[in-house]
Amino acid sequence: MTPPWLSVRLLPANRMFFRVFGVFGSLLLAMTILYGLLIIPLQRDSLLKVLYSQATTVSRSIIQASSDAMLTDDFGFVVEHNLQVLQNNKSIQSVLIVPRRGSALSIATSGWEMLQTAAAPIKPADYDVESYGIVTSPEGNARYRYITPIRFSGVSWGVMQIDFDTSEYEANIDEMYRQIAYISLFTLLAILPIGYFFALWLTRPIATISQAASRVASGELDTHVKIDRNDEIGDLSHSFNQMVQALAENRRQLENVNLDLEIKVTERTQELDELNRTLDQRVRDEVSKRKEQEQLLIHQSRLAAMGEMIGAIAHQWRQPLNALSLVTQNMQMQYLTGQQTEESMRALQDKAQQLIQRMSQTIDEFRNFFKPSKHSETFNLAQAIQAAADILEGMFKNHNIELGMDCPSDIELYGIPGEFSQVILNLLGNARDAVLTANQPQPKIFIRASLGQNQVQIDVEDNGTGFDPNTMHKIFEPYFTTKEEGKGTGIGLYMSKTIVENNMHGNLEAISMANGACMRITLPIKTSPVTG
Amino acid sequence: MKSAIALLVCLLSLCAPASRAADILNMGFYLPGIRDANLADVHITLQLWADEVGKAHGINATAYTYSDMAALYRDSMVGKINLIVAPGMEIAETFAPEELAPGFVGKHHSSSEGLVLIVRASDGIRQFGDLRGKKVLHLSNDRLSSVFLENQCRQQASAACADLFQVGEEKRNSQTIHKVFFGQADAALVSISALHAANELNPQIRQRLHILLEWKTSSLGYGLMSARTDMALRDRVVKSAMQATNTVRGKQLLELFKTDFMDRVDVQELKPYWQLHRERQEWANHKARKK
Repeated sequence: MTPPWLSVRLLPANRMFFRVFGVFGSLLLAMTILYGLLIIPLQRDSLLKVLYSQATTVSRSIIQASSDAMLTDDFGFVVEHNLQVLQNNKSIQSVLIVPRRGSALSIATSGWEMLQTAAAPIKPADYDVESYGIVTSPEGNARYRYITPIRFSGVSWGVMQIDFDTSEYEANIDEMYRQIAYISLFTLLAILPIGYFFALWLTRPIATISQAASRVASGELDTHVKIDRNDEIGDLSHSFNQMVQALAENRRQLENVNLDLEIKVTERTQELDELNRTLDQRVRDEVSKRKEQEQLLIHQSRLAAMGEMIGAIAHQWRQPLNALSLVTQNMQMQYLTGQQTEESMRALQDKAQQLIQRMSQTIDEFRNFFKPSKHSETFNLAQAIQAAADILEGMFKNHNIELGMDCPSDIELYGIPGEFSQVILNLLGNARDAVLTANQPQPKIFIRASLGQNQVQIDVEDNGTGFDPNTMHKIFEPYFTTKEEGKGTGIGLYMSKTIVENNMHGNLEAISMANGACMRITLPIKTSPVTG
Repeated sequence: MKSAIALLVCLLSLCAPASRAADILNMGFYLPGIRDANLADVHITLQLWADEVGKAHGINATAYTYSDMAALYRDSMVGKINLIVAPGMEIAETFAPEELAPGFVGKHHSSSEGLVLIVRASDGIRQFGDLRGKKVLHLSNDRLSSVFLENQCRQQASAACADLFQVGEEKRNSQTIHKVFFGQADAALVSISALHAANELNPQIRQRLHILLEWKTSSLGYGLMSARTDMALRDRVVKSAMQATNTVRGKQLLELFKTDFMDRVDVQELKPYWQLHRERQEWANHKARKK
């Protein structure tokens, strides 16, 4: 069995870890190196300042201690003192004292000597100038050289040059390089564990949250992040857990809603299936019902037409019947008076026969008019209107209704002539009823046909009661009538509109006039079958 | 005198392994003889080494310092002091040869020791009598210089030095040499080792200065055992001291006091000093008789 610590991954497999580790490490290393690069010149300056400070102190000390000897030319004391100084201060390599007059003294730890002033390395022009810095001896050794004027009470006595051993300075520099190298090495070594743990500390919770987010994205809403930290990442994990919890709750609610929806959809589907199953039957039933209604309407319309026809026949027959009655009365009178002869009998018989023939002809004419014709054909508009007017002629005369007509004789239409005549008959019948209801002293009905661009307009005008504005929008509805009970069926206008608009592809509209009403038929001019 | 200090300290360290639990070494040290070293440093060094050696080797080593040779002599005579460390002239003036036993001295490989009377070569002084009316310097508080110079004046000019030339004193040999070199004095009596050192520091000195008189001896300072000291202890100390330069501690001490090696010294080596002392006594007695 693998021990638990073996299962811990030393190097987390997330890019952020390596990035953080790399950035942190590089930054720390760069800062260390930068610090080193910055500190080296500063440290050099600092060490040079120390050397300068030491040089000024030593020079002042020598000058102060040797001032009396210098002023009294006691060079023995000067040499003695400087030898002691060199003996007590190992960092001083040599002292060169160059008086303005007399010989120069070069004093070193290894010995001293007197020099001619001209042979001294310091020129008179430099006697009043303080200078210092690192110089290289002819042997190639570096040393710190400090040159300072020697003045007493403002009067220049000479100049002094002190050479300091730079081995300590160089040792310090070397030590500084070494320390910086150690620090860099230590930093490098420290970066590994510190950077590792820092990067781990920073990225592990983020990686944990990221992995958890991936699990949540893949649908594992029972994912829970356990990060116990009192910082933003802790807050993030807490918020993440709350978010996942809310997401899970929403998902549960959504699932419930989905479940309800699925149930409803199933139910609706079942209903739809059921509906689909019965739809054909329903359509068939509806169509059948519709047909039945239409048949009923047609039947009713036919009955109404029959009524109209019977009324019209009655009006046509009234005169011949009166004449026939007179013929029979004349025959009876001739017989009773003995005036009946063969010739008079034959004359009366011929007369009666003519009347009967006329009545029979009327029936034939009516029968022909109302004979249903199902075949479309080209017919003459004026003739069709005249045929309808003839049917009602007797009736109009009985009621003294004046029927006028203005219809060009050359307009040809295509359709079922019987249906069109039935429409005209309906409109004339309604106009007759309107003028009779209005008790017009001079009832008038006028039929006007005019030819427009690709259409013909037929107006049936009357000076009757006109339309009631409150019910005008309902006049084309089936079974709607404004006539007295028993006089109107409410089918005529409905059937007329159906014929004009559905069968003849025209339009039928009702127009109110100042003294009456106008029914306008607009039909396209066609002399041959068209589709649509 | 540095050689004498080194000798004393070496004795402290080298005698210890050979000493018994009851061995006692008391050192009498004449401080005015120390010229080129800080007295306080010398005293601290002596006591430090004495304590260290004593603890390490079970010996009671004690350093006593004196500013008066008479007091040192008295303590030596009563057995309080085993070892006398002082300049040769002061020892010769205080002790008789039979009161002393062999001891040790620090020496240099390169030079002998003694006194030289130097003058500037350019001044034309070729004999002692040319110093008349000149300025002559010697070390202050140096009995040897005083006795030698006075003896020379008596012997060569039959007069007191003060009557021949102006006598001045300086604290250090090097200082004295530099005074002559830079013309602030006409002549100076300095030690041979000091002149040798000055020559090493500046070869111009050898070129410019001329030695008028020279007096040689084995050393200027000595460490001699008291004749009253137990013979066995003296032999043990002598044998161990001869090996001083063979030990690390001994080398450190020689280096510290700028001495090359330790050498056995017999009482007879102080004969030049006793000779100077006798001469001094003779003209002093002669002077007293003339009065």
